[in-house]
Amino acid sequence: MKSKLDKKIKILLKRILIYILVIICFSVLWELLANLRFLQSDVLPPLSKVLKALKEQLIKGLLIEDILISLKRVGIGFIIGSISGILVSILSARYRIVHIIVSPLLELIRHIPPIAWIPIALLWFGFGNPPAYFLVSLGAFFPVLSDTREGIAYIERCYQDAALVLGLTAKQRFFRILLPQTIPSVLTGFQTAMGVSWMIVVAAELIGAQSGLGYMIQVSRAQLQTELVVGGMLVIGVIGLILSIAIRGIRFLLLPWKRRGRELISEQI
Amino acid sequence: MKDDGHIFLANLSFKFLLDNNSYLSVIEDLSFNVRRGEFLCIIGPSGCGKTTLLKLICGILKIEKGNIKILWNDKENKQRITLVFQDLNLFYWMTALKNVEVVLRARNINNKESVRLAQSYLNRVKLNNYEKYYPHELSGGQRQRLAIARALATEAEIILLDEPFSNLDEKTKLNIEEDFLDLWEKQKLTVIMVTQSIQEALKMADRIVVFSERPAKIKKEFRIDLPRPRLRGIEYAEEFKKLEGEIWSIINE
Repeated sequence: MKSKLDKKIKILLKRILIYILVIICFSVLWELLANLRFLQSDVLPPLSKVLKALKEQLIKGLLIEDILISLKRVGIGFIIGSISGILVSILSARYRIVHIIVSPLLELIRHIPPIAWIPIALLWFGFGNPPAYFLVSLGAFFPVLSDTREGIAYIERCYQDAALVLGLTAKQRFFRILLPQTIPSVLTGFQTAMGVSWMIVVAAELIGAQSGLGYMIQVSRAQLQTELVVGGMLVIGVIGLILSIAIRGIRFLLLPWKRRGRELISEQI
Repeated sequence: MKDDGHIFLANLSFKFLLDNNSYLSVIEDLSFNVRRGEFLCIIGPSGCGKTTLLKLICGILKIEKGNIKILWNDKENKQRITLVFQDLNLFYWMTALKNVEVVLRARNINNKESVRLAQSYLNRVKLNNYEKYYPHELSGGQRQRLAIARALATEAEIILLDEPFSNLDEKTKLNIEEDFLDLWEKQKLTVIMVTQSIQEALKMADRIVVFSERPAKIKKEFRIDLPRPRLRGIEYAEEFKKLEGEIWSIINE
């Protein structure tokens, strides 16, 4: 058992090492290309300049502020969107009438990309936070809704029967039997929703806000500070990655039975 | 006290509603009793309604016609009857220990005590050292044992078994059967077991009921008075072979 774990850690370390190596190679290549003077530095600034600009921004405290504002928008929008996604899917599973009414509407709306909602969101909610909350929650809503629905569809009657003849209480049947069967799908929904949310918040800030990372990029472009434009992009990428890793971490914590022998489980389900 | 009745089935009938609005009659006018502490085996062709019958007795399915009366020993316990499913239906998201513990928690046993007790139920089916394993990490026989431990944890007085020992190799099967008979005797359980195997029924049962094709009716009953313990080697006894032949001919009638 222990040597197995050691082996797993070794594989993980190896992977991380390769990641880092690739990133270093990429950075060096970037730096070289930018310094070859084929390109003007306002088209592709060298990495060193980008990092320097970011550092200055960091020291002024502006960068952290922008990051926090964007994160807050994502956070609130994500929570509103995913809670309503879960609620609607529960209601439509519980009440046939909700399912019948809601399904065609949702099918139609989900095919409108959230970015296409930006103009109307600005008309409805003005500038700043409210349209961002609206757009992000819209973007989070659909993935959570469809994956939660799938999770509910996966609930198997036989476990309810078992719970019944084992005398489990109604509370246990909900929390210990129903929920664990749906959580994997809900988390998959969260994962997609988080990716979408982060993309949308940046898009919304590019167009309709006076703060946040998207806005920072936009302003820097207007001021011809290309290194900050690229720097902002880098920061957006890194934070997106961290958010995605965080959700994966939550998944790992909440689904202990999926940690070992995954292939066997999928066989059983 | 030994011969008093425990479960009484009277004129039980059950139909399934099919897609095309017709009915499939699964059980028709079935009546029999089970004594307290009896080990009853039901043998019958597959699809004859045995599983449906077990589900009716333990209350998963609602009785439509006729009735089932049970004279409970224990007035206190909430879950006095339980069923070990053919597919076991172990909760795959819980460890072996949790699979048992969740049942104990339902009986209002506090957290600390339930861990200790769950452990003792696992010991009883010889699953000590497997408490942290998930069902998919256990072997077929171990899973069967876990399902039995979980059923025992209800402290039910009646246990229904739906072909629990099929899909096991002969040796594992014999070991589990032996352990289960042991528990049955010690805890004075009333057991109804559905099986396809005449030999298995003869080795375990006090009485064997042979069912007809669907809708299930009793073709014949056999009292099995072979001396216990009778799991190992009894299949070579004259008496055993005679009964086996008789049951076989009734099934094939």
